[in-house]
Amino acid sequence: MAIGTFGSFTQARLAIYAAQTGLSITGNNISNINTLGYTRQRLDQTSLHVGGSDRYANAADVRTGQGVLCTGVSQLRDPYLDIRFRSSNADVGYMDAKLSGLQQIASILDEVGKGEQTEGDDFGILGAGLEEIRKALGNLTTETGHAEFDRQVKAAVEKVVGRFNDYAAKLEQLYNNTVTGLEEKVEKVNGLLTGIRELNEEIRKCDIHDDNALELRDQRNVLIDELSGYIKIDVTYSMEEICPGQEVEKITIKLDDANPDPTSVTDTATLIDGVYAAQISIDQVAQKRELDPKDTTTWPYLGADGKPAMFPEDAAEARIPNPNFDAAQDPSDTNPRYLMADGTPTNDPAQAAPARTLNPKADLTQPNAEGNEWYLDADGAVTTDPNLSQISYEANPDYKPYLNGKGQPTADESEAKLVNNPNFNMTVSELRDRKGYLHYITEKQTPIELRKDGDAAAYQEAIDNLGKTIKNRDPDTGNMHIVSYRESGKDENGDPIYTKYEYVQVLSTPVHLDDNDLHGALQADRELLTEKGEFMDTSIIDGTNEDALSCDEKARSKRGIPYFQKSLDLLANQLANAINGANQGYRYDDQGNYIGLVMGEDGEPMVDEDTGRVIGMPVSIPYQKLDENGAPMVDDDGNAVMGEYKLNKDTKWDKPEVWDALPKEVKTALEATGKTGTEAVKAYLSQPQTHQVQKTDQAGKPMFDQNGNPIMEEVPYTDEDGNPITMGIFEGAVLLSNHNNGDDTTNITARNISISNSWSNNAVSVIRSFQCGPGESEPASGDSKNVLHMQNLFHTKMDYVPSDLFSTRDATGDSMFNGTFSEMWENMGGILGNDQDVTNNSLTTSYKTTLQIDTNRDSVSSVDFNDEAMNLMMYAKSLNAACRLMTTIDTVLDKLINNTGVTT
Amino acid sequence: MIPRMTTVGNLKNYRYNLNRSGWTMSQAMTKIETQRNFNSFAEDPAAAARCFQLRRSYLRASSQLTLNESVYSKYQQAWKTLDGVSEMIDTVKPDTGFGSILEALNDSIASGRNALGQTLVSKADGVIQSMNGRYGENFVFSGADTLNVPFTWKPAKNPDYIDPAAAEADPGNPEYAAAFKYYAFADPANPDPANVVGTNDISDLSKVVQDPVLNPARNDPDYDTTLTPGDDGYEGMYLDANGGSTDDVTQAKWAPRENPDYDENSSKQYLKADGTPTSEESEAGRKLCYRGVPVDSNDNEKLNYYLYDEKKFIDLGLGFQEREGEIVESSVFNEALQGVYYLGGTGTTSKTVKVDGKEWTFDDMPNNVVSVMEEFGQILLRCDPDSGAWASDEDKARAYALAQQFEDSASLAKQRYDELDAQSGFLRDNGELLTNNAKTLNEQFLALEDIDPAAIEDYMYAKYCYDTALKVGNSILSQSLMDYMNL
Repeated sequence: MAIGTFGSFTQARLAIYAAQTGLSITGNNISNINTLGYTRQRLDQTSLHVGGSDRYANAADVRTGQGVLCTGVSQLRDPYLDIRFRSSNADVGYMDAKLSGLQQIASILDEVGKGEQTEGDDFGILGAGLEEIRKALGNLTTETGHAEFDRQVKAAVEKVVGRFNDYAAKLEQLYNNTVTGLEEKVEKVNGLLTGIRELNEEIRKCDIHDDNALELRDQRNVLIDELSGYIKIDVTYSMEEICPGQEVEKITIKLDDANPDPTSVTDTATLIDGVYAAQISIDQVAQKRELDPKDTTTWPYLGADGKPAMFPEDAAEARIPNPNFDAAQDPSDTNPRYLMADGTPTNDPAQAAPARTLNPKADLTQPNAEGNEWYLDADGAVTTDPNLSQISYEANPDYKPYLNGKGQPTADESEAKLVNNPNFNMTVSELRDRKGYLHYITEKQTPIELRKDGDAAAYQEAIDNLGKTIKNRDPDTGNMHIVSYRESGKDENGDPIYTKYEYVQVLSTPVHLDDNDLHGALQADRELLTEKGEFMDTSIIDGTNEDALSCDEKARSKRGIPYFQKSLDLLANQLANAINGANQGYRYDDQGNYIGLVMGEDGEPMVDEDTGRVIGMPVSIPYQKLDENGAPMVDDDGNAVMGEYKLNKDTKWDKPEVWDALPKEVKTALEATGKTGTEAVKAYLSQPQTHQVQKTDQAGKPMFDQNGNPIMEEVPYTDEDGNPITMGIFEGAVLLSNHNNGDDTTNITARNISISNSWSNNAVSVIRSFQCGPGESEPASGDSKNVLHMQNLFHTKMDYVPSDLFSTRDATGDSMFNGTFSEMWENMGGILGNDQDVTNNSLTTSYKTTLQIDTNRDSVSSVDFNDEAMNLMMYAKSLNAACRLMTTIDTVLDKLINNTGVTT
Repeated sequence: MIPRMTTVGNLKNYRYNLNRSGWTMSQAMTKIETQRNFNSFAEDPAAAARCFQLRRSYLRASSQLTLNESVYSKYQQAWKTLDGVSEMIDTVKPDTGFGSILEALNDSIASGRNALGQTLVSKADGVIQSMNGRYGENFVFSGADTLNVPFTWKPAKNPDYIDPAAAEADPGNPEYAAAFKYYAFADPANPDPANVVGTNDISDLSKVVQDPVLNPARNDPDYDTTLTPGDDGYEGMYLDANGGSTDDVTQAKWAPRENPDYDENSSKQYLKADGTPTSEESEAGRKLCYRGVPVDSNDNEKLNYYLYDEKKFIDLGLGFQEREGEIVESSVFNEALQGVYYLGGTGTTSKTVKVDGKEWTFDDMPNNVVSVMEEFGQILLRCDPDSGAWASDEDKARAYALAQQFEDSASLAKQRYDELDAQSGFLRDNGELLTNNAKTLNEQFLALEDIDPAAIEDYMYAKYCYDTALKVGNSILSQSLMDYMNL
């Protein structure tokens, strides 16, 4: 093919154009070298070839290209590296957020290198404080009875108590801040999802108009990369047909199967599907009140005595209520409250039928029998056997489990204030586009062939609707069913065969995420807020709690802020219980026998003549001795041979074999207290000592019976303050309480542990000893046995049992740690340090991996000065060459036109 | 294929590496500044836990050392006190208690016995005053009863004394029989001579058992018996049941039936120094009491408890432990010093002496050396002030017996003083042990915590690396083909 006269100019022009475009792209690359997420661009060029052959072309003619064409600009990007980067980035996001949380906990609890001037800088604070108490108790052992040394103990305890309060308050603040952080992160994720959706929409429009929208893609990649730090995601690209013959790219982002449970399906919920996006939210629930041992309106059940009960084990089993019961009247035989199994009303709970999970279709006024089964079993099947049905308990009518917006208790859940659910469970919303339209997926159903000899109704429906499109929305699911019928042939009788075509537009629905469906910064924050380690409810761990989400197998070894809060609570609680327990008891003599005062005829305690001190003698219970055959002993006169059974502190009262071996009189006396074991002994010792006095009338005159005999009555001895003098001598009071305005020891935590009111006011002090010398009622003034015992509490290894805390009473009853107070405290620091160390190492590894992948991405996608310099030189030289070509052609044409054949 | 290292990639890597280099230098710098190998559990969890454990042991050793020093000081004071007491009861040196006793036994200088008696009593006082000394605010020798004075002198009590109030309240009690002169009907409404209780009140004759065997009740002893009926002022010879006078012996009131067990001394609360009962406290002799209990009491439950069972334990780093709620005694130190123990003990013993050819056996020789001195002093004070003669042969014999007893008690007291000396030595050694222990622990945790010169090298190296990294960064930013382009 011969080139046109000016064809070569075009060739040069295209070359100049290509070089200029190349320079422009190079310039763009250089300009955006610092633009976040920018992907280097490349000019796509092809050599211009004009096709077709010239009919009269010379066979010897040589075909040449017609120059260069710029076909487009493309990005250099490796999708596989993007996938790897985003997966690794989720690890970085998770570890980074977790480490950040742990570091904040450590800033409160880690005492390495910290300390106060009293002992030196590096002895820790709470740890040194515990030692300070021990030391102060040690000083009190030598200086027993001197108030200033008791105050030293109090000052040391005050310091530790203050530190507990401070740490607990800071942990609480950290928890609240982390909640806020999580909420902000959720907002951030939602912003990213919205941003990606909008960019998708823009890119989609560009795609339709054949604009490759490279910069928008870069922006989207930045957002996706950022999103991958919060949530582990799976990004897929596909082509979407927008009309016959035209497809555009569609991006779909889903959760990336983070749940280790293979049966979980919620961990692949869709976040983005083209121009549709979901939002993530923290599930809101009615604000519930904590179970409070002092407030019966927080107690859910009723006991058999009709009084509120805290726990099911104390609750009365619910009975079938009589529908005709008049609640305005008191229950009685004429106003029976229950129904018996035959439907007869009764007011006797023992006769009433248990109200377990009831069959809603049963007629309770008719007997519970086959055909009218009152109950549902565990599988929801009807049954007449209440034992197969889930047990239910009498409910406390005054139960107010919720708090309304004003912080007041309420029984009405609808009035309650909505707050984040305690487990920070999340939901991925339905997918919606920018205008709010719901996303749906069209599912094609298997076509159904309808014959005349088949389903007559369906066949008739096909005839009636032939050629029509019928749309029906399912009222339950909201899904649209689109049905059409077509004739698809004839049967053997010549009757038409119709085919039913059905499409279902399945609407997008919210997905409630399971506990481990997420991975990334969001999940790290959730775990910081929820993971309790060993304090986790056993019912959740073993899966018997039907209300709970499926639980992470590693939940007992995952530790967030609640774990450290509970550990601190447990330590404070254990410390308070140990100290309070040691500071209360009954006095005993040198043989370990509990002692009591010996009352004289004058109603006053008897005093030792020599020493002038009040006498104390062992508390004993008379019993008839048994001979070697076990028969009651009598003397020669037939009188019972009596012994005195002394109540000794070293007797193992709680051991059944010891209890059973007690003389019957002793057992009877102890059991009369209504208790057994050690508790019975304590109750016995706390009973008042009584004596008989003649009763007096209102005028104060002695009273006599009809025979003139004085009327006697049992009256307790009292001390000078009017308090009864008990069988044993109780000594002591609590030193630590849950508030310094009282001596209440229930539910002591790190947040509320306080010096008790009595100790604050010096009404009590550290009890020096419970042991008295023989015949004494008070320990020696410098006896420090109990102080030493208290000191030993700080050496004693104890079991720390999560279920000992009221707030985690459903946690494991196994010991989570065995050690001294200090060791428990250091164990917390060690666990925190190890967690930090492991997380830090994981973060470093993940970060390096991510960086490596990012570097690999950069090696493909990012701008390099050397490359661009090369391009600059290349395109500059190309431009020069093209211009030279233009000049050459011009010169050649000039020669051809102006100088060829011309002679002068 | 060699990866394409781009400017952006290089910068990103450089930024990370420079950051890491800076962090490494910062860590090294923190170590130098704080002089600690680690500043958080996270940096070295195992070492941090170990250090806290060592520091805790160190604090314990330190506080045990403080307590040890305090107890040691108390023992030093006790030692000094007993040293002084030991001087006073020395049986070899002159001018001691024993010297006075020996002098007093020497008849040739008998006239000085009163003075020697006074000296011995004063020495007994002196010993007790020393033993009642305090260390700080605590009495050293009162066992576990550190707030109360251990030794007191109390009036000697009559062991046969019966509290009249108690006796009146329970007149039928055989234990109180010696307190009543007469018998009364236990049930006046149903007078039964076989059912009687004691009484000293004979004002209501209907209640008092009359003794028909005895003489009728005589009238006023001052009544003039020379008067005969018809004389002015004549009254009957007898008292009748109504308190009037009568000569008719059949109408006379019979004398109350007397209690043969009545002991007049039972109404006297105290004993004089010579052992005779008296109602006057001022006349009473004195008895040494330890924590309110007379030290010479035999088999006294309280004294036995003080001597053998009462303890005041303290943790001095001997491995303090409790087992089933009871202190393991070998793991603690008992700091209760029972003063009575160091003075020869309690109770009495038997001693036989032969004086002037006659053998005397005394079963009530006090074991306590102060009681011996006191009693010996009292015997000497009873001697004739001029001649110095013993008040009685028994006094003399008792003095000889007490002299022998003094030697025994003083010897025992000295042995116990040596025991205290050994305990003081133990405390001194324990103090040294605790000091060494604390030092070792201090060294151990400092060795773990404190940086060594290698940390300075680490810092220098980290700083060098960081500086170099900065220079590298400068090259990265400045060097590229762009800089050499020459279009």
